[in-house]
Amino acid sequence: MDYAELRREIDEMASSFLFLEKKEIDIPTAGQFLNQIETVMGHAETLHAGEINRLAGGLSQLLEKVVLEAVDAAAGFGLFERGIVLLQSVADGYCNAGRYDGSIDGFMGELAGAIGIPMDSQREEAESAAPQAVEVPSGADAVTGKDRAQDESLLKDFITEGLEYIGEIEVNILNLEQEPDNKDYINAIFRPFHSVKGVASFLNLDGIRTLAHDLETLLDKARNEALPVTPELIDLILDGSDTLKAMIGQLRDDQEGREAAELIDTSDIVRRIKLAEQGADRPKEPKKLGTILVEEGVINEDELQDALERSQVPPSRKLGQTLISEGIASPKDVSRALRKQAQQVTDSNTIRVDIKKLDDLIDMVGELVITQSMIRQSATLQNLGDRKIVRDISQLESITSELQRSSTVLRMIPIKQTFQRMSRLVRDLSKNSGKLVNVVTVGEDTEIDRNMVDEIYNPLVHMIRNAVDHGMEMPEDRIREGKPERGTIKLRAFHRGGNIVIEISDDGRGLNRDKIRQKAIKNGLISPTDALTDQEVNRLILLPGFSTADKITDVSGRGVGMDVVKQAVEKLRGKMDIQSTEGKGTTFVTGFPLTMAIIDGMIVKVGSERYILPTVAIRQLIRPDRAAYNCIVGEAETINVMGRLLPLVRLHKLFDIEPVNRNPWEATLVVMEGEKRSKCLLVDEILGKEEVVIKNLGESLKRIKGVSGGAILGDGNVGLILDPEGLFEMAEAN
Amino acid sequence: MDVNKNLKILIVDDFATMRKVIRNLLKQGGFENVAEAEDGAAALKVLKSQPFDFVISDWNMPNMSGLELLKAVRADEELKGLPFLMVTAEALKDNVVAAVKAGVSNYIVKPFTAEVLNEKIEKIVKSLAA
Repeated sequence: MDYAELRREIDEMASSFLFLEKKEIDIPTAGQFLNQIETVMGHAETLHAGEINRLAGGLSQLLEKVVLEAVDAAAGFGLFERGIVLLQSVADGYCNAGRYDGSIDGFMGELAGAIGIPMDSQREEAESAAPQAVEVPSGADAVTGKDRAQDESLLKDFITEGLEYIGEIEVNILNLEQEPDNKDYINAIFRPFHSVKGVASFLNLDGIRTLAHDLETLLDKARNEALPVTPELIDLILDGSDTLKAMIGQLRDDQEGREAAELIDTSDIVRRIKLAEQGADRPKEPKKLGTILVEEGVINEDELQDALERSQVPPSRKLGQTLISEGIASPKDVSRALRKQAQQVTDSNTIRVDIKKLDDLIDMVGELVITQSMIRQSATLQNLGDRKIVRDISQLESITSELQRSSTVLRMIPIKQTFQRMSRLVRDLSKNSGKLVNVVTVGEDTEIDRNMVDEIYNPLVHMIRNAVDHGMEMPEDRIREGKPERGTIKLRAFHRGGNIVIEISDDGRGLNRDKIRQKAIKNGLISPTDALTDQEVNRLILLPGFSTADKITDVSGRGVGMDVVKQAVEKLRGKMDIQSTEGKGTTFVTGFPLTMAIIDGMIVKVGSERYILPTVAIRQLIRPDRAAYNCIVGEAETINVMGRLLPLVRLHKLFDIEPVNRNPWEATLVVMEGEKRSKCLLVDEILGKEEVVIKNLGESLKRIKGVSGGAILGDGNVGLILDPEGLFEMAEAN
Repeated sequence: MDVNKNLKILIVDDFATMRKVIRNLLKQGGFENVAEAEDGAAALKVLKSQPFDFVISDWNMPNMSGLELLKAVRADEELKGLPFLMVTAEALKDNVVAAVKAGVSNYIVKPFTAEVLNEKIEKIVKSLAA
């Protein structure tokens, strides 16, 4: 690229201008020139032709103004014509002498005057310069009878479609909570507001249009990263869409001739949106020491103001010093507040990392742990008898396990988001059912593997639905029972062992154990003579096909019972329990492993093969008496385990291996729990307990019954991880 | 010269009510030969399968936005001369300039009346005929 070429480009532009049919710049022409100018500017910049760059930039802005109808088209045409001629002579100058001797300042000044802004402020808000709405809205015209009928029909469509669209927002917002950076999700939420706004503007629905517009602006800022997607923002959007929904609902009531309810007050939500938007423009500053102290209740606002004034008086001191020396606050309170203040600053010391990178890292660490373990168990190395090697290997071992621990922690996130989604769900469910429910959350900061979060969500949602629908009473019933009108659902999370425990408690009516017993007897799940503990009765509702709800509601009771929830929990290798006191409430307790990547397994040996049994499924290990073994000819073999006859499953038979022991009283039995039943698994030997990293067996081996995955054991050999339920099904098929 | 009222027009918008609004406004201007598509991708398919004289498209749509549709139309040998009117919510400079650079025939800001819509269509069609 040289000046000659640049001049040729400019000449081309001039000639296309010359050959314009009409003396005006219409939109397609403007588009063509804008593209040409862009090319010229790019080249002028590479060639350091400053005047050309400036002049072309000015012309580009002029065209933009013409397009936006902010500059009169005829005046713009004249200016543009002169601009191009000037551009040509500047280009000539550069071409011939490598510089331009004249000045473009005069013309630039004129251009700036016409455009109405100083030339150096390139990016001004177009909205202020462009006419907001070019024409008067159509509704302002006199409405004829025919138009009204048309409007009525449009209104009806708008109500149906608008509600449907806003409904979609909730789905997408849940996605957004999971991935706050995903622009597609933001856009999917933005669009319904945008569409609703568009139609509302045609139908003269000003309230709806304004609110939709405000929400849209908010989302636009989030999309442009001017505003972080925080839980507060998400709540605000949800509240906004609720309000919008209510407004459209009111239109419907109005249209169907129903009594118009009180006009919906949008001032609060609009104010909150404005506040959130301002938050975007101003960087977050750490809170002042005084503010923290007031919030903590150490001092009150008046004391703070007094102390601040006195701190100003020379010799000026810091607020903390003043407060302490005057005995208003104790040194302990002040130092605690200072620490809190410091923490706010360090709160931003985080980085975002793609989850894929973390997954890869954790995978590799898993491999490292195995390799390390292989080295440790290597017979060759052990036989060397070199003490330094032994010491180094043990050092390697401790570093590796520390590395594994800290890398697993990387993927941990607080359960907070899940709890917030559930709180929201409770709010919606209770609104629909006319119940009054508060949500209390405890232990929101408890951490869980990010990959588990999605998995546990559905079972938890089902339990929440159950609690609201079956557990909670209607307000009038609660008052009759002498309880507070408003019920409470408590979500609690904490760590216990290697698990996260999540409790969902309600203070509703509790389980009616008599009713459960009767139903279970009727369904043949238990016999009338069975003596069951309260706990066992509670657990009956986890059996398939069990539902005591008298009516099928929108929420639950559609045949998807608690058994499905239990299965889902167990699929995640979790445990589930129910505690309930009649009249006082019910608590669902679920425990999940913190991660799906590692399994706590029992290594068993059959013949020369080794297998891994998930520890969660193991009830006990026994070596039975000979008398406990029963075999009825033609029937299954059973073992009497503490009074219960459990079927015997011979692992060697299922996998066709030659075992060491065939007699149960010589071998070892593992009592395993499946979905609905327990069985005894016959193995030769228990080798020990180990935490193993689960490996996928790949597509071709995915469907093998009884095997859920593989793992590399400490000695480097591969062991298969068995799936109890699959084994049971295999045994039953034989 | 009067604009041929039998122009075959394609309305592209994901919001059905909006399509109906535009259809009604077109009808007031005497244009009744109208078809609809629910997003850019659907529109492109329709445009490739049958001849149209005019496109009125929304900006923000799932699958394929109005701008993407415009670019696809202008890049298509058969379709590149098709008059294309973009409907936008506000006259936002960045949006409008992007559309203009991509070769839009004109743009129209919501809400608009039948008269304005008519004017825009006539202006585009006449400049083509000239």
